[in-house]
Formats: sequence, structure tokens, C-alpha cells
Amino acid sequence: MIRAPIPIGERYRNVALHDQQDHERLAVVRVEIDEVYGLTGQISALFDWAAHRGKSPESRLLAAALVRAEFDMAIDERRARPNVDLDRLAAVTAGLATARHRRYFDSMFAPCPPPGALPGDPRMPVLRSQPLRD
Amino acid sequence: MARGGKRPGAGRPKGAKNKPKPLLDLLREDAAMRQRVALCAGSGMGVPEISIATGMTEDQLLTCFARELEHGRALVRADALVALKAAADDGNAAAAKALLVVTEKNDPAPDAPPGSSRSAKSGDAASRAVRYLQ
Repeated sequence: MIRAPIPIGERYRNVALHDQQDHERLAVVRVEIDEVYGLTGQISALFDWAAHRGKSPESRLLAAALVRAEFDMAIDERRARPNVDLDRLAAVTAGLATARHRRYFDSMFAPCPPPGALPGDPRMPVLRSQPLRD
Repeated sequence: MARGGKRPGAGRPKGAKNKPKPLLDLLREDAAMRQRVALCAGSGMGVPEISIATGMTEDQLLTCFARELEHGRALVRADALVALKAAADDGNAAAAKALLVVTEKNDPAPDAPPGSSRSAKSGDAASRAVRYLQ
């Protein structure tokens, strides 16, 4: 299912929360957004968060935006650039804001979860309680 | 004809005192030293270090330069800002840009997440990241 952009249910700390999520799921997303704000300045931790498919798409997008912001600030202030691969960052977060998976809290463009991957594995996205409606 | 006693009007006039100024007063009037102490204090040096650097005792420092020791950072910043403004007025683009950065840093962003401030590095990155997300 591809929509651009994904409809927004509400906003939390200036981050858009996607629609069609129950209250329990939204509570998890809010906590994860708080955690990402707490990681501000830790580039590698933010990068890992953005690449972690078990985290909510909203928090992964925020983590990616924070990495880009740190990178751009380093350019503006003529500091040494953080050692991050922005192309890879764009690849691991592709589609999170525009194309969402019907069954998982993940992007349509992400590869299928590997067989045998357990919840908590960075390659294993969280299953939706109900498949996405059209 | 022998003359006894002093010639009238000779010597130092009566009432005039030629006492040397006290050292502390001399130190207080020394503008260069004042600036130097403010610079040292503003750059984070402690009283013992400044005492060694300026050749004064710690008591002399605390007596004569209490204001500089307490507000050294503000005094140095003010001097730097004045110099920046003068350079910007003369057409120095880099100075004008630096001046803009300084003034914008003290301006809270309307869209900053709660608990963040643009004056802090993390707040700057967070507000920039939020702009990327929108």
C-alpha cells in the first residue's frame, strides 16, 4: 500500500504519528520518540536506531533526521563531519514516511524479515495487530 | 657673608606630598592588566593560574580585579561582539554571518520540542531535525 504522505493521526513533540495505530502502540511510539530525543548528539546510536526495524517508523525517521541535522551542523560550523554513510541512512529509512507495509510497522521497500528472526532482532519488524486497511 | 639656614623658597614646597601611589591603586588603574585578567578568567582559568600568569598575588587579584574575575566571560564576549559588529559594518561578510549566528542562537525557536533550547547544541540539532521531518 503506497500513500504519499502517510496520513497523520496526531503529533507528539513535533513528530507526526501515523494513523491506524491503537492506543497501546501509540504509547510505545511516544516512549521511543522520547528515547531518540535523549540520544541527540550520539551519531552512531542514532544511526543504529534508524536502521533497527523493530523500532517504530516515526522514531526511526526522527533518528535519521537527527543524524542529518548533526551532519549539516558540522558542515555549517566547519567542524569534522561525523563518520556516517548518509546514502546508507537514506536506504535503511526509505519509504518509512511514504510507503508502509500492510502487515508490519515498517516500509514497503524493506526486505522480508529473515526466517527464524525473533522479536527484538534488528532485522525483525513489529507485526501489526491488524493488517492495514486501504 | 655667610648665610645661615635655608634660602626662602628653596626645596620642596610645604604641603606637597610626593608619596608614591599604593600598588593596589596602580593595579586598579592598569587597563591592560584589567583586560588581561578578564580574558584569562573568561577563558576558564582559575585564580591560581591567573596569579601566575599576571605575576600578582592571589590577594591582589581578588582585591583589585574582583569584577573581572566574576564577569570575565561576559566582558570578553562583549568585546568580541563589538569587534564583530565593527568588522561587519566595514563589509566583512564572515563577521556579519558570525554575528547572525550569535543573535539567532539566543532566540528560542517557535517549533522547538519541549525542554530543548536553541542555545544548547542538542536543541539546535533537534529543531533542525524537526524542520527536516516537516
